[in-house]
Amino acid sequence: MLEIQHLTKVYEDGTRALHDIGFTVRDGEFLILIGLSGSGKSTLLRCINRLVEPTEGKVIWNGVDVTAASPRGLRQIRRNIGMIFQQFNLVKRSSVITNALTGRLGYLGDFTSMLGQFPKQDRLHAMASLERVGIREKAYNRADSLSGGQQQRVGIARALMQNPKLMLADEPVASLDPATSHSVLKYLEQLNKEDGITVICALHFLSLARRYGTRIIALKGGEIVFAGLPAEIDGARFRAIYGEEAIEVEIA
Amino acid sequence: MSEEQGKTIRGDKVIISRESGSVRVGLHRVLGLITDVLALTYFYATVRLLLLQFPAAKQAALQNPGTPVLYLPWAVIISLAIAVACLWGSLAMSLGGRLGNTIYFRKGSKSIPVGWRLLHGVLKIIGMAPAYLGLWWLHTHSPSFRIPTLAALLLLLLFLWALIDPKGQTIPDKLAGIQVAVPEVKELRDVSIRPRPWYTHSWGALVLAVLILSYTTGWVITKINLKALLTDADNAKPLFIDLVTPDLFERSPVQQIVRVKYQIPCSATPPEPAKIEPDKPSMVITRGGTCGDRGDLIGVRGEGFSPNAKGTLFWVDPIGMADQIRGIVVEPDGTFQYNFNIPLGVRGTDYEIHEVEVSIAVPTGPYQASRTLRLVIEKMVETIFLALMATTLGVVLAIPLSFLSARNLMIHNPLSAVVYYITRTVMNIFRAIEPMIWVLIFVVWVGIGPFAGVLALSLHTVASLAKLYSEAIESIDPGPIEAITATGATRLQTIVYAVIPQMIPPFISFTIYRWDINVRMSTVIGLVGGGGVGFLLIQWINLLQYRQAATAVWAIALVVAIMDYASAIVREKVV
Repeated sequence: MLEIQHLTKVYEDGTRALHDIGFTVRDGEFLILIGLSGSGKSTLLRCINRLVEPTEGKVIWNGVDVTAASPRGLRQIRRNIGMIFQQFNLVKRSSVITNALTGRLGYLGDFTSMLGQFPKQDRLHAMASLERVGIREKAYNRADSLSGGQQQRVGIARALMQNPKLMLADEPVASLDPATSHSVLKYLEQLNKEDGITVICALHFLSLARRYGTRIIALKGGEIVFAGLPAEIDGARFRAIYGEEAIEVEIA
Repeated sequence: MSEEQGKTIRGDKVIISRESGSVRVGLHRVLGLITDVLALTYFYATVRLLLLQFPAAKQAALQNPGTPVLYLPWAVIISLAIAVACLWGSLAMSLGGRLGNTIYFRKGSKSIPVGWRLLHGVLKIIGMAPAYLGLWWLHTHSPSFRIPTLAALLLLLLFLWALIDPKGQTIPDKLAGIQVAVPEVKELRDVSIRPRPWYTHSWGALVLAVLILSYTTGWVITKINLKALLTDADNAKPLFIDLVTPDLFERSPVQQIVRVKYQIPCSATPPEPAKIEPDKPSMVITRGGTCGDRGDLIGVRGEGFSPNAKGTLFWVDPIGMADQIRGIVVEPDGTFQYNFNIPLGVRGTDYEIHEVEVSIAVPTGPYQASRTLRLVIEKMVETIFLALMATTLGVVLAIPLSFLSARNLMIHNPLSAVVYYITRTVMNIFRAIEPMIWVLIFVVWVGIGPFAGVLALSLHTVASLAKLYSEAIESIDPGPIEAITATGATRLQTIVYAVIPQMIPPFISFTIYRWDINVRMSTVIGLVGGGGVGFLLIQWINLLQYRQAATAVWAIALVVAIMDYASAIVREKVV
């Protein structure tokens, strides 16, 4: 279970990215964060695994205080949290399978990983993960030779290698076409339903949020303006979240 | 300028807020003033230089050293420059003010009238009067200039600061009711205002004037003479011919030597005259018999020699010492005929037998690589390996240094920041000194030869590559770093898996670039003793043996071209 308490993030130039955010995520949920660009979704996700240091507040995951963890403890926490990104963040020149294998770095010591030698079972696990996301045949291609959707699937495979209990997705489909977006989100749904991984996913499109999420939290200006079930977002609430001039667009 | 809710429209910018009256504003003003003074001094120096090009002005200057405008004491120049800069600044026409981003304004009014601006400028000049007087006194009274000069300049600067109170308003400002500020330009452009072209601004016109002046001065200082290019082309012709006929092949020469006896002075039994023999080269004395005295005129005739060959006539004295008389050329029919006087200084006791010797070198035999070519090939090999060793050594040392010079890795804690600054500065200094100069230093240290060259090139390579690599490190994509950190990787693992793979293309690219440079440099460091083919080149040039020098030049061009081509292929395949 993930608890966020009074989370606040103020950047050095005074920008207030998050203000007193608090909510709870139960195991097995598919929580979706929605909101305008700049409303704090990415910052919130990064505060959960402390890629960004919160100014105030606590993040407690399965009883462990992430915000107060030592570097060693943080490493152990992070290796159980997988993350995928809007820009995929793969190492472009490395092969697909090397990218997937970097997911195991949290579990390996410095010296073994330094030489690029991963244990055999990790290599098998990596191939299995790539198979699972359907790009096994591209295993030895360079990562930047893949299409956007394929690259995101490599990202998912990398996260899977960590055997995560929690998956953070920062606008994973924002750079993808509608069909590929559905395909990627279906993988996430599969991980959520079959493997029981809790997923927190930031999305742009409300239609996707409605289709895949079990719960929705909406941010505006760094504050929560809605927390509840997808069906509860009606026209009025939609305008409150996205602003007066927003029109809902169906992503087929 | 108009004011509207804290907004000011100036030219094509909309200024939202201002920071007036602070140390920062004071600093901007001082910098602006210094810029103006430098600009005016430069202006004066270039105008003076151009004026001196006119013969009349030059004459006047030589005859009368104190000619105004042409020769002013430095103190006067600086003082005038400061005075003009102050006035200029007040009238809002100053380049330094523009660059220093300061504006003058009066609270509550649209613009400041010219009269107040003039007053402001004059008040500033008056305020600096003590400094001028002190400067003038020092100039006229002090015998040696150094310490007093520095003291004077310091005094001047102190005055500038003393006149600026902590609020950034000098006394002249207060008296003229003017405020100075450094504007914060929050909105860049109000699109309804069309921007004026840069040269219509007063400072733009000034910049234009400075550019024209600079280029004219440049033309004069570098003594550009286009006429000489055309009329003196003949000077280069012989050199050019030599350069396009390099010394590559030679044939081993075969000597034809014939000697004829001669007695000094004549005795009762002079030597038998020689005869022309039909099937081999032979020579006879046609005039003067076979004996005579020093200084007598002798004629010799040869037959059966190689047509058109070149040779030399020698006088050989009784103990076998040869004295060169003259060079000869064989006619197309294989004969030659020459007259000469017996050299007066030949040694020998009376009645001894001397000899006339003709020595002809005939190039026969197969063509083979000339000595020049063999030397050049040997040295080119040395040159290439020189470049290889220097580049490798440079790369190996540059890698750790580049990590220490990378801002994004080092700036986080104070200790590493210090290391960063030290490394950067040292590398900058080493890079600023050309390899040719380093070679001079190392030649003294380890002696002339390729080792000095390797050391010099390596040093420069390390400095250059460390900078290039560190720039590559600083420009890496932070995305993969973020992603791999998120998996729980340690800092070291992140560097190995996210940073290093991103650096390989620029790394290889820069290494190849540096290799190309080193190949070129290694060919010329021999000019100052660093080994390699430059060593041969400078010797041949000094001996005016341009054909041999041409061989070296062509070899260098060929090797460099091949190396460049190879680098391009490697670059294509690997990067």
